[in-house]
Amino acid sequence: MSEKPRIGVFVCHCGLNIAGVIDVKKVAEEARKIPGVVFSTTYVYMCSEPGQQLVIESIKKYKLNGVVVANCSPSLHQRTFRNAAARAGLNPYRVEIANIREQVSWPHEHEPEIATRKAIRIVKATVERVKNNMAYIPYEISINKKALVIGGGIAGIQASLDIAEAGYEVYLVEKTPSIGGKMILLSETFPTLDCPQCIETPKMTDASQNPNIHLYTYSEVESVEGYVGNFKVKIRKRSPFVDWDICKGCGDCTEACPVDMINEVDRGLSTRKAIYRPFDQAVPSVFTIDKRGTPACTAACPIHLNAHGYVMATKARRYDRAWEIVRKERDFVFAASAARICTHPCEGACKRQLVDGKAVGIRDVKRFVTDWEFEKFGGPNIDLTVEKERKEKVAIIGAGPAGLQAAFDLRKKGYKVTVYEALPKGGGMLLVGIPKYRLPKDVLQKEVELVEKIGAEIKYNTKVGKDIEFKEIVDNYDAVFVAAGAHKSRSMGIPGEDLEGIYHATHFLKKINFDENVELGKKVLVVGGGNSAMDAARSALRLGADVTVVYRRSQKEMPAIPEEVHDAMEEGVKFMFLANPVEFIGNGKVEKVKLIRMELGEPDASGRRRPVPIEGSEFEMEVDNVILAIGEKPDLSFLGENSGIELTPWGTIKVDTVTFQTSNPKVFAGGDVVTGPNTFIDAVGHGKRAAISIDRMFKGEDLYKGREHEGPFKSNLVGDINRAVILPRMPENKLPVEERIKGFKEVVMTPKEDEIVAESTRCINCSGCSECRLCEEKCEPKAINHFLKDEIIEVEVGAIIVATGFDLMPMEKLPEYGGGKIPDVIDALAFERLLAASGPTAGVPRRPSDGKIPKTVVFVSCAGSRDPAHGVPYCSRICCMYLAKQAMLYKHVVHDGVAYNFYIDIRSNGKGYEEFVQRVREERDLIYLRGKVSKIFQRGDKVVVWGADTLTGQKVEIEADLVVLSNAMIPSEGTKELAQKLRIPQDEYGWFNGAHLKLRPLETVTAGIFIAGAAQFPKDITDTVSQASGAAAKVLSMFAKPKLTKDPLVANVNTEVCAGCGICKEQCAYGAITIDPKKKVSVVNEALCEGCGACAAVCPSGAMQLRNLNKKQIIRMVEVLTEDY
Amino acid sequence: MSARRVAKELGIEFEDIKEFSCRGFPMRSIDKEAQLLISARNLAIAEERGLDIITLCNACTITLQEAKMELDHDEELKKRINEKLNKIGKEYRGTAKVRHFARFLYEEYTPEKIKEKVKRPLSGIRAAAHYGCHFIRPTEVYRDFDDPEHPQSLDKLIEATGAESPDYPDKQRCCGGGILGIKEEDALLMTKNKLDDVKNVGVDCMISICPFCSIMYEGNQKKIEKTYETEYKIPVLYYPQLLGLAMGIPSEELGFKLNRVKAKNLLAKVEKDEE
Repeated sequence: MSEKPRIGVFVCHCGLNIAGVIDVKKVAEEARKIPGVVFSTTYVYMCSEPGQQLVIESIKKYKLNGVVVANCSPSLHQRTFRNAAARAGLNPYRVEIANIREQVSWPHEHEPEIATRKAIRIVKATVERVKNNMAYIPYEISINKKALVIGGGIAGIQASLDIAEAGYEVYLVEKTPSIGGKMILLSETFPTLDCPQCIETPKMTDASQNPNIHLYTYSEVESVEGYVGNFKVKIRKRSPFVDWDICKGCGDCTEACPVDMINEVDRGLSTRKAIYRPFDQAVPSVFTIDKRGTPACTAACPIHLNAHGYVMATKARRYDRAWEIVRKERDFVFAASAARICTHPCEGACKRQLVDGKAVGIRDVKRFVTDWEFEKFGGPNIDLTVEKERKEKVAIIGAGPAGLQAAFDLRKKGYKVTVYEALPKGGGMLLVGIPKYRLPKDVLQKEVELVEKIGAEIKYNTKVGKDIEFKEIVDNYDAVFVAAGAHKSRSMGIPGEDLEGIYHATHFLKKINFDENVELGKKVLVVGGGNSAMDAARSALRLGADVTVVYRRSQKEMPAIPEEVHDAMEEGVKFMFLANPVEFIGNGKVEKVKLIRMELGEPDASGRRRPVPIEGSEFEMEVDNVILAIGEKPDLSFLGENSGIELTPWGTIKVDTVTFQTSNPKVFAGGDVVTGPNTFIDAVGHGKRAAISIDRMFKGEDLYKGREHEGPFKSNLVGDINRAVILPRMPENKLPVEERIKGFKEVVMTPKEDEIVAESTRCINCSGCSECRLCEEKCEPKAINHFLKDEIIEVEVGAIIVATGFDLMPMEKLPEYGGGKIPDVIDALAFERLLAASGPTAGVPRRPSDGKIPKTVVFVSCAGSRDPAHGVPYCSRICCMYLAKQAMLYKHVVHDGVAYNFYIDIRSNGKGYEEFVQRVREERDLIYLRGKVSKIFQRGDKVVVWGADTLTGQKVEIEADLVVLSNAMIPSEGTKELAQKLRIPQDEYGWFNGAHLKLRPLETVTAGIFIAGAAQFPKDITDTVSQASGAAAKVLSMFAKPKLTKDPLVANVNTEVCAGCGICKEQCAYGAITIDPKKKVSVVNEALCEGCGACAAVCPSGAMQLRNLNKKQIIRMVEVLTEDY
Repeated sequence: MSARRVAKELGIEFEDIKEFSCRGFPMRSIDKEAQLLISARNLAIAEERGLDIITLCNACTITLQEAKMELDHDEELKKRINEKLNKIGKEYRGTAKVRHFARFLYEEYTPEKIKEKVKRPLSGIRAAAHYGCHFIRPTEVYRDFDDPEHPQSLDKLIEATGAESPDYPDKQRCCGGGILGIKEEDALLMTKNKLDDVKNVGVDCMISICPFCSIMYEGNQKKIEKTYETEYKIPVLYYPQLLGLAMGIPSEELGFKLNRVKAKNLLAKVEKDEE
């Protein structure tokens, strides 16, 4: 202020709010003494019309150039007095408020003298501030006259309709596939008993038909930028995997879908399919596929065979489709072999185990499917089409699972593939190491032949390093894949290991598999606890020996598949745990074994407890033969010296873990030569991945891009374990033991059809859709597209209405009421569904446990509400009313039913509400018991409610058939994330805060963003609809103006001083500050700035200042406030 | 006795403080500040030695913990109490933590670690948890601990031994001990109701963590049986006794001789399982 200050001070009494404590006359007198103050006065209600008139006239009369009003919080009446000043011709920004109510008279109610002194100080400080206030003119901002409404419940629908009907465009975004919100789930609405199907569906249709409303369901707000009048919004339209423009809503797809999911619309009281429409009256009336990601089974599989898919296709008895998934989708050469001997990591990861400890029999399903394939086609049937002939040549060393799978995949791409194999047949370890009773050799050979059928050449009896040099192969081919396996036996390193009669397991098994003669005595000791130990033991048993397996740890630590161990035991193999040989004794031929007892110590690197020998516990055992099954290692001598292939310290080939490339870029390696002895399916995975790398290399593509999830990974998706079908895992269909041990006939037989179909129903569908794609076949207009991607839609709007509604407190949060544990304790929304004609029981309430019609129902008010211990001290406001309504509807259907309601107070404060409660009480005999329920528990098939009747002082126990809880209302899921995106505040419970609880409940503190409905706080439909129309009116009053004005009291940079350090930028909650990269100074976007001052407070150089509250003003105010008085 | 034995095995060191007095609970309703003074003295003694306090009784826990809460939140009160303590050369500062042994085992030692120490899992044993009021209430004092409406800590501790902790409706009920001196008849009826309830679900024993609760269920069990012409024969174990059994500590070292209702059947079952 350059001219001489002429300030007026106006002290408000606020009735007795201020004057009852503070000596307002004295404040005015003291103010008059401040230099620069030319006038001061008091008035009983300064904000009233005469009060404002007093200010206006005084400004004119005393030619005031500054005004201080000492009254309440500036958030209430600053605007009032600035407007008044403007009417008197004074720049409004020369008016400031001294808050002597909230900051003085209220907190100092009992100390009037201190209060008066404090008030005087605040007035003095404010006068000093006004002396340096500048005059400003508000900014003008253009408005984009379109609105965004978030949430498609009744609030969002109403607000959208009101705005659209006024002629403006609206984007209505809803998270679920249909609009309608919670209201559409209700049976009837209180107090008029209108059904939402009749009163809400017309509004839903209107919203979808109105040309001004752009409906985005199954969509979420991704980001919001900009400011009032000019928001830029990104909407993520989630892929429904159905083209909604084509979908006719006929529902044929759901009939084909085998995946049963919990129906959230019916609060879990019914199921729906993975392809679904939430309810028949849904808007838009289209279908959505519920896909949640990769399930744990498929994720764990090294080749990501879609386990969920073929299990579901089997459930639908569509074995043709299951076969396509198992065999053709991943070009799986060894599907039928895998169905017998795979270590099934899928089952290891299966989340069904969380239900009853037993995984879904995925391998059994695969067995059924591949047996079906063999039956139907006489052998494996795979797609043998070669994409396109290509000139590059690939050599593969080893015709095992890794080598042959890679050979098939590369040949399919069109490359010329030659496989070198030392043995006369293909199959690798499957051929030599796995006994026939587990994997019949004709099954394996038929699968090996597929590789030749597609046109890869296999050179049998050709040992690399002997018949052909490795170097020669590398020189003659464009790429080489080394997959020679691990066939060299390890030794124990103890005396007597070379004695006659001691075999290594692989050698022993190979002889049997090649039908060679093996000399075996009566007593055979097998050393080891892995799968080859089991194979060796069971084979020896079949040759007529008395077999004992000795393992150094306990059964729990055995690496063998538990079924194998079980089968071995069943067949009569003896086991000796916690013992280990220390010496083999014999004269030329083994006769005795000296063993030592072990105990388990601390866990080792593998997590298993380390076996420790017990000193002095040696003992001897007489044997005729010993079979050592203690592991194998790769034999890499064939590489020759100076091969240029780098090895690891463990004697395996070193490869890149993504590409399987070795130190020689054209040589790749996979399977056991890389890992040491490992599972068959891992080897197949390596083969597939190496083939991808070789293909990419030939095509000159990046070898690494987008391959993060190629190997096995963990998925945390879990289906609904609480509502899983109770069914024990099917037994395996096995030969009787007597039959088995007679020879090498296959032990496990084809599962029975009905059993395997039942087994597949045990799947809990962790990922929703199984991608069995049976729906695609049924969709006549071809609307289904399993590869449809999410879409990001960018829109520009001027105003936003948030109407995201509420959820109920989860049942699990109410354990003392049996929430989540007792099936017949349900929440009120679930009971609404049981009463609704469109619900799972067609309007006749039946209890979830046994479907009986409940004869005694207890309604519990305030379940979680008004209860600070549950984090909800507030009242949920609608429960008293809907419980009365539900009781009425219940008694309407079940005439002889008895209904109780435990309540604290009955809150029926709305038009027609109290009358309604009285009517229910009188007409329907609802028994109200005033008191809280302490505990709910199950007794037999009854649900027992313990409570108190505080009116009679009695403890009450009621044996009920069904208990309905009115769970507390809480903000809907995702509210917090949305609040962050919109930068609008929430209260401590998560509800959105209005700018002022009483006077500005529809506006947030962020200009241009409004709230409607229960997102603000629990409210009934009447209030929700009123508020929605209110919020729409707020938007429309904004749109009615040609331009918006904005407060000019924002942050301002002194570019001479600013060093562009950027500290202010980090502080700004509104994203209003950027750093000019050229000038290296901060720049404030005045439209975005809300004038909070955070930037000015942190600015180290003082370059950033807030208008009319600059550093000079603040220091002067502090000086005055701290002066002696 | 059992707590000491178990603590030794778990590697927890107890230090006995001879100067400790009663924590003053009986004075509470007569002269609140006198009770606080006695509690504060005990706390001050522990502070001097830089120790936390482990209690073995629910009522002791609540008295000390409540005293601590009141002193820590009321500067005036703290000043008054300290003036008196100063006369005997002590000062209350508020540095020592007070926790029941069972809470310590649950929060600090954790059931997971207890499981590792179990050598003889008590599978097949059904042990009914009795929390007792002052282990979890009043909620102001135990705000950061177990859910007062649905406590889980003692159940988890029991399950850590391999035993089963069945749910039963009366789980949170008071033992009745609080009104024993006022109206014995009503007090014993409360005790009886819970014993009935426990008997109905079928258990091998009840687990208490408070000596006073034990007096009600164990000491008065015979009396109730006689009065109401019924029979329970439910042994009431102090939690460390159960834990000790699971850890393979011989029952003679766990004070089973002192149990008023003999746990013969239970011990036979545990030892038989071992074979």
